[in-house]
Amino acid sequence: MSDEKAPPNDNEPTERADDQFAVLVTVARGQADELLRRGEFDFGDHPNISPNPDGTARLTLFVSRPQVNALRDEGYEVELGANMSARARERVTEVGQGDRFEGGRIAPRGLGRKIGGRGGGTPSDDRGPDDGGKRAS
Amino acid sequence: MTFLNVAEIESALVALNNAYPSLTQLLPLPNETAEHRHSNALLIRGNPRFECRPALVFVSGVHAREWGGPDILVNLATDLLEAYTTNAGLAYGGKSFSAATINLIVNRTDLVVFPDINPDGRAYSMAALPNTAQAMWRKNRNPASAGGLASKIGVDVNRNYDFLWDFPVKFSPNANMGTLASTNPASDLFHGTGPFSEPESRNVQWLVDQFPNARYFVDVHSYTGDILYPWGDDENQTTDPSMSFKNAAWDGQRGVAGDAYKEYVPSVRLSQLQSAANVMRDGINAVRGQGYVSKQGFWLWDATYPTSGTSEDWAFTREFLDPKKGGLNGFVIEFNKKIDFFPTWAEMVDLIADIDAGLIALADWAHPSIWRVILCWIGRWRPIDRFWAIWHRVFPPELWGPYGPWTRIVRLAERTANRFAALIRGGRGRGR
Repeated sequence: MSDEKAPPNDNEPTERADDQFAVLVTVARGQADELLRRGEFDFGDHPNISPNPDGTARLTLFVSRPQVNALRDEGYEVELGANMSARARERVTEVGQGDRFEGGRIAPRGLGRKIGGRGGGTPSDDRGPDDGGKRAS
Repeated sequence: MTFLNVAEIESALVALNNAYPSLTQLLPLPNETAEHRHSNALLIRGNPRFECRPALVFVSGVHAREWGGPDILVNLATDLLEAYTTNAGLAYGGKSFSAATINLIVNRTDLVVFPDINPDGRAYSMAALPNTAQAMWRKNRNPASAGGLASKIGVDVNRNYDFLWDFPVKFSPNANMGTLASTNPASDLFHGTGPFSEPESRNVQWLVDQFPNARYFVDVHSYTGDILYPWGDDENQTTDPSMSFKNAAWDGQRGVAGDAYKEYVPSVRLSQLQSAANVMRDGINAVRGQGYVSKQGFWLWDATYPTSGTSEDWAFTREFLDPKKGGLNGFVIEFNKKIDFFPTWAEMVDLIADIDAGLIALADWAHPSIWRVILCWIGRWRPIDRFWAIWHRVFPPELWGPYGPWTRIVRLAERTANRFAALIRGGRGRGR
């Protein structure tokens, strides 16, 4: 999900039965450890836990709809977020096609803003794909 | 622009080497992946004659679905080379580096980027089709332990390094087995059939071994907005060197907070780890105030996140296993504060700026100051070598050596004098 509190997005692409959703599970002390110990949930890379003012926290998991239902059946409050699997399929359109650097003939161009210097910044002005008009701000 | 695909990552490195041949060296990694791919790393070294430089080794792409890591490192190398060769400074949002800083970094460090550790996994994730869920793939694509089942393909390369790899033996049964690693090939945390069983982790090991001067190792992951430092197996402690990953007497007791076992780190080294992590954190946050946090990898709110076989812990073991090699500070950056493995490219441009600023800030912090350079030269200044260097400069061997003209003149004079002396002695003898 692009925002931690983002509701399910109606515009997400078509859902599959094994799709994984980013969900926020509200946990009391000890429950995060218990959920992670099960070894049955995808918790991302280093797990993400956001403490709440009331002493609970929200643990992020990537789970299927049946897993969401099972957690709710156990009494966990689960906030359903984006369908990450669907989002990834959508993002595939933003993966480069072919080889824009032609096996090493065309060098990439950096996104950082160059300050001063002799100008140019690259050995060749026409060697790299542009960045859609966006430079690192 | 869009995310780099697997072929483009390698092409970009080759292209940078072609464009900046005197500043870079392409380092082909020796181990082929399960799907027969080969990876490259790129060394940036501005001044080969400067012997006192530390090496910084930056790696990424170990987890297939964490797409942006390779883009971050390719851009880092590109920006540094462009800025250096045009004598320019570099800016990312609110963080800027002067041209002089870029010069010092390039001239006084070995900067190594290995953007795509796991090309098989990345290719699989990025080839996701509408009727598949494969984009969320994390591991490599090694089928050796799968028994022909697609669900059991792959090893988590970041549980495959040689740091407490044999977790069922090394860790307490009470440790959180859900995060440590797994012996089940179907798990996303499957640790392989042995430490460094995977070509991807062996490539990282090989790369680090090429740089005895390596002092900083950063593995770029996503997400959560953390900079993590060792240890990852247990709480840190600074008083008892015997309580260490090296000591088998503590096997079966690691990984639980609040108990007797805590992993040893010298206090000065802990301070250095935290300082370097904070430098990266501050560099990142200066770009657009994202609020990244630096912390020990083991901790997670009221829970713990013990791990075995991870890269940053393995890197940090080097000085404990072979003190002659010097300290290698290991880190993980988890880029992106949002819960998202797959940002849009427009979001990724901002994330690249964040992390590249943090990594350049680290390189700026790591390059030796003039005082450290002087100390380094003194350390390398062996008096007897210096004496002979000066001696040979004053008395060049080609002039003063046994076959030199001055020696021949001396020898000729000696022979002449000897003959003259013999003649005198003979004349006197005859007179008697």
